[in-house]
Amino acid sequence: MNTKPYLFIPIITVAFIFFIGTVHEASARLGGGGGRASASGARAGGGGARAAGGGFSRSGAAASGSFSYSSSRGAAARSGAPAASASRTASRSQAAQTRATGRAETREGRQEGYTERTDIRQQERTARAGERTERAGERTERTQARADTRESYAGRYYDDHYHDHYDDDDWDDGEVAALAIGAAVVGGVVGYAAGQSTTTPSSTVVYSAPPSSGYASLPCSPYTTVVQGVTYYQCGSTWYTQAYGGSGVSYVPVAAPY
Amino acid sequence: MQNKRQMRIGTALSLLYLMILIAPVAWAQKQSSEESEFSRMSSTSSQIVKEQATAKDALTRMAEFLAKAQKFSVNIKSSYEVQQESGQKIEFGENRKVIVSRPNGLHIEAEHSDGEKHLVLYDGRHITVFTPSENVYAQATKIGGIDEAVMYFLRDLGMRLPLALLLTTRLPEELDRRTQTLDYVEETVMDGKPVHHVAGRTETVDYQVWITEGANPLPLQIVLTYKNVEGQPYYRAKFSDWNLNPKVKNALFAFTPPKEVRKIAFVAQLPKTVFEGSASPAETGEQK
Repeated sequence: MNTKPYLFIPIITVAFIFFIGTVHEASARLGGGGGRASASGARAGGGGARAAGGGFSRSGAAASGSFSYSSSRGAAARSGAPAASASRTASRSQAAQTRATGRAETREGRQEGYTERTDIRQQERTARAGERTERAGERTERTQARADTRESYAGRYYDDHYHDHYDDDDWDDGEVAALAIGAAVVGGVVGYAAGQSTTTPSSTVVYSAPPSSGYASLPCSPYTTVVQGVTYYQCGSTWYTQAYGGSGVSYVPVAAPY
Repeated sequence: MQNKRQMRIGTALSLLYLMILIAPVAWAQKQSSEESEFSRMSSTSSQIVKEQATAKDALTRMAEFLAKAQKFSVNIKSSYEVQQESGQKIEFGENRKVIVSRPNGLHIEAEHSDGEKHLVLYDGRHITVFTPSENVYAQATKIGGIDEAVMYFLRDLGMRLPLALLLTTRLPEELDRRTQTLDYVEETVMDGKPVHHVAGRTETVDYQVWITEGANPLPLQIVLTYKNVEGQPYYRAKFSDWNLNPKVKNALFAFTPPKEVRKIAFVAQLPKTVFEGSASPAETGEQK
């Protein structure tokens, strides 16, 4: 066979150049998509809740339906979290982490078996994963670009926010204090005067840190008395009256009416 | 021998030819890749700027539209999560019927998922909350219009009024002031209507709003996520039956206490003297 290498090599070269051109065009097409915000992501889980009314608290941050939320405002009463909350959270996190690791391992094991059984499909998936990685890179790029475009907006916000911080910020979160379910021992004796705004708003005495919203129910079958139009309930040496707070009507400990 | 020599020369020439061909292609490839990267980033960035402008425009239009509406009524079906001490999250719900007649008329009927009902009224002078099942109401005086009354109700009386911001004419400024970032998520369809889905972030709450496209930019859904709170609970509200010209009568906003209904106080109105034990009910006693 009479081969002519000096003709063969240029042919390979031309084919190679054509191939490079095709790959480049394909990658440009893949990379060119603008894309919108990711539609995937963590979704809220739907299970777990049972019928309300079994002593579950209805009060919490999300109950406020506010566009800002000041966690420092009445935080202890709002969350009703005891001192052990932190350690409980830590142990929950640890448990969750352990479960997550376990699930990851299980998934890995399943994946291995699956890979063995379906090599071809796995390869396809790998190819798709590559594309996804590329798209993820784009998203990161977009996120970065977003962050860049935000700078001026955020800068203005912080300026304004600084000036208004002690003004009316977070006024719409109310005081969503948790009610104690059932009764609780009330330490000390506090007095009470039903805050009655009779004439103008300026005559109403209002404090920025309201006292506890009280209790959803009384700890006993109380002795009830009405003094000057105010209904009082007595349990032992403690007197209560009803009042409106962020969680609705509650029994608030008050001074003895007489 | 001659053939061998010719072959060597041929191979050398071919290699040279190959190098001459590849060099400019490789250079062009590199240049093109850099240019493509640059133009892609530039195009991505300008698209994001455009989307953010669309989001801001949609949100501002909605806020201004609601703030300028003289009257409206809407039904709100909402749900929210409460993380219990055990760590378990429970969802509760409530329905609200809201009627706003600016400047002085506000009527909100709320029914919680446990069946409890509340009524919140403002008539330009008094803001009242009434709970029929308990036969009690509380009332405070506040002159100045819905904005003042709503702020007073929440901030000073410590009461709860979800989505109160939407009731006030301060909505555009308040959203603008609190929002740190705002993005356009997508154009989608809700309740058969094309809507803008926008997502904003305040310092403490991430919010999403679905806003009707067109001449009446009204919210159809709002989701608030309390990102700094343990469990990151959400509040979700679905709006329906928007009416921008409801029939309203003054009687709708004034409270006439039914018989056997007692007036009680707001917890926040307890004077400072309460803690010193020197107040007497006679000073500010409640009335029937």
